[in-house]
Amino acid sequence: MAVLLRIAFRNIWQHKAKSFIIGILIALGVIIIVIGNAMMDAAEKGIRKSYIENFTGDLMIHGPSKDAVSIFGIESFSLDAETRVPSIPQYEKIIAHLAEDSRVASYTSMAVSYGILAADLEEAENIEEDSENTIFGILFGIDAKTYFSMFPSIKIIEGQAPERGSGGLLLSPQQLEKLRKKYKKDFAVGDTLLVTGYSSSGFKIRELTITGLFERNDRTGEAPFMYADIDVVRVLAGLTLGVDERIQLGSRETALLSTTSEEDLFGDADIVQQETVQKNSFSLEQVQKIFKDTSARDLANTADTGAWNFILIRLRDSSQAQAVMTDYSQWFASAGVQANITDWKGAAGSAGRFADILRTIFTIALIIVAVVAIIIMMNTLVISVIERTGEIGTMRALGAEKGFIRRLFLAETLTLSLFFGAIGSAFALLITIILNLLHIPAPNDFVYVLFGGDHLFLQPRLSSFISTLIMIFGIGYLAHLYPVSVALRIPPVAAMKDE
Amino acid sequence: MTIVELENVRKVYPLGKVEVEAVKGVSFKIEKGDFISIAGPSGSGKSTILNMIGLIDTPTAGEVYIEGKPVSGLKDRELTRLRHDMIGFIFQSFNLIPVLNVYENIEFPLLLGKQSMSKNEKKEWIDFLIKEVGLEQWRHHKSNELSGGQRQRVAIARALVCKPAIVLADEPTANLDSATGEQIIELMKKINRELQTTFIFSTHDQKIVEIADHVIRLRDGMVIENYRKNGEKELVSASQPSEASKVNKGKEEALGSPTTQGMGR
Repeated sequence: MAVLLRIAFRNIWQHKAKSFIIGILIALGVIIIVIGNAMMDAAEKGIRKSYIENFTGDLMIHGPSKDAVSIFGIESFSLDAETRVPSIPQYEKIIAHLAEDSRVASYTSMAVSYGILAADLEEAENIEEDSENTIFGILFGIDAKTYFSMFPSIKIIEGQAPERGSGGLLLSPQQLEKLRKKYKKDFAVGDTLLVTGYSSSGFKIRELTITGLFERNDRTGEAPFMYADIDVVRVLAGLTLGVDERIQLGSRETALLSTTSEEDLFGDADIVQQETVQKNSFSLEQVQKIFKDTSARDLANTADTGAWNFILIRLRDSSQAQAVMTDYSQWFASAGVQANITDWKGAAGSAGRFADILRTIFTIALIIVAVVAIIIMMNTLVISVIERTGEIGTMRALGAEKGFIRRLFLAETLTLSLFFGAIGSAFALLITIILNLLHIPAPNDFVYVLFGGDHLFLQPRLSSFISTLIMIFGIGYLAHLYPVSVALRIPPVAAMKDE
Repeated sequence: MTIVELENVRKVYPLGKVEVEAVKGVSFKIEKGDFISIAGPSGSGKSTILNMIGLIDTPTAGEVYIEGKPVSGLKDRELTRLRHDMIGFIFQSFNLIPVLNVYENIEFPLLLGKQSMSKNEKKEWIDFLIKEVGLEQWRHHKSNELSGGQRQRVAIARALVCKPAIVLADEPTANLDSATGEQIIELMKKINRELQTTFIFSTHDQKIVEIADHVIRLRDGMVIENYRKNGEKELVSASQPSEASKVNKGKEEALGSPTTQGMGR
């Protein structure tokens, strides 16, 4: 072994140019991976902090759904995806359980719906969803007291939060500005707006009064969130009293619905009755007679005051999130509660997976760089093997088995990897320190997310250094395989050609 | 005692689409302790025969015997082991490992096999060899700091370090001036006498051929002379009677197998 290492070290030194090329590659690779990982960590930390402190808390409980659910609604592009975010069953039982859990610092309940803001009824009835001027909003219906105490970074800078039953709406100054620009009207707290919402129970238009303005203490970008009276959100979201009532169909209706023949469906004279309608002869009584009983419709427009889409939970110790999640999943199963629990990332939906997407892109880039590095290293080593044909032949002639030649090249590659990997690590650390000392500010919201805060602050993990070195060893190992196979094909008689 | 025997050995090399027969059915025997020269002009097949004796090349046909055992059926690992234990190599271009110094180059073959010597024994033995080849002052120098003659001395010491039964030297003086070449051959001869190691060397230098006590002369891949010198030349065998008769000035006594049968080309 000693002779292997001795020859390996000295060969590296002897062939400085080649060693340097490979070494630079290795060191650069280490620097990119370590700093890249530190940046990914910072971004993930920033996104995590932003979401936990502003939107999701550490954990989120939601109702049963076959699709993924986030605070923004159903996270599915599937055509048969549910359109209504499910309400939490046995809400009171869950709340009672949470209240007794010492690990839970605070919790709040929320419902979500979507709406398009309009200034008048005509516009509200003729919404063009793809219009540039459309002001779209994700409406959070909240319990203002618990919500704002759980998310203290969200400040009400003017007016007040919408109380239940007030028909109130809390906007951000940016949203207010958009309204002002669109309608060329100086909207202010106290003004009314119309919100057109859509849920499984159809389109609904509600009038809301701007009760105040809020501001979030983070820069994750301008988001279309607004806070509305919980009952309005419930109605827009389809969380109404009549929504769960089942219509019982008779055998005739069921048979009709199961057919595809138009003749069967509409050919029966009994279905469409011929009535003679006289112009301008409608009285209120007649209209009421036509609509008959409106109680079902009334019920469908009455908010189910016990319905919530989510319970957001802040823990005393965020690091316990996984354990708490497991406990609650088990409790739901044992207590027969059809609810689900997810962490902040699940609660944030695709937006929370931004860091994962970044890391995936980074990993793909790394794989490409690694493949290129392997090819360059491999070529350099093959040249080295060809140049050392006589030397290898001599070793073989003197009695070196193939295993010795294999170990010799492995020792050289791994020594190079270790040495330059260590140099790369040192440089990565140095660059990190310098970058942190430079206190580079985030110039925009996107970079703010990448930096994980106002300034770039990188904290490379020890595990990142170790995993990078292991990866570099792996690259070195892969890169040496082909050159070694070339070396092993060199016969001992090649020694005779070493002239 | 016969240490090496070649029996009707042929070697054909492909050269593009044609085949070149470098060795054409050669047979001879080498006795233990011989100091033997395989002589002949360039392209006569000297190196090819040496390579086959050294187990670094294989015959196309025929058989090579080392200490009476055929080597044709041996696997790569067995050949490597046999080479390590039985054969020392001295190359025309010295073939020292450039990153190792004199001591380490000599030590290198010892590190490849099973360690039969203790650390101290090993050191004493290498020191002895360094002294034998006169390189005490150069033991820590690398090959690029040595002259050609010094490098070949290192190669000789390295060839002897595993105490092989056979040392093969392929044109050991070709890259040396004549005075140094003679010194090297004298050194090999001295070691041959002292250690009873069989030396087989190829050369085309007639002056060096004269020092050998057994000469096998080749031409065009065939043995044209095979004689031992005991004051007078003693014919061992010859490939062609006409050639053999020219050199047979002494008592003719065929000692080897009837090689003419295998060299009928």
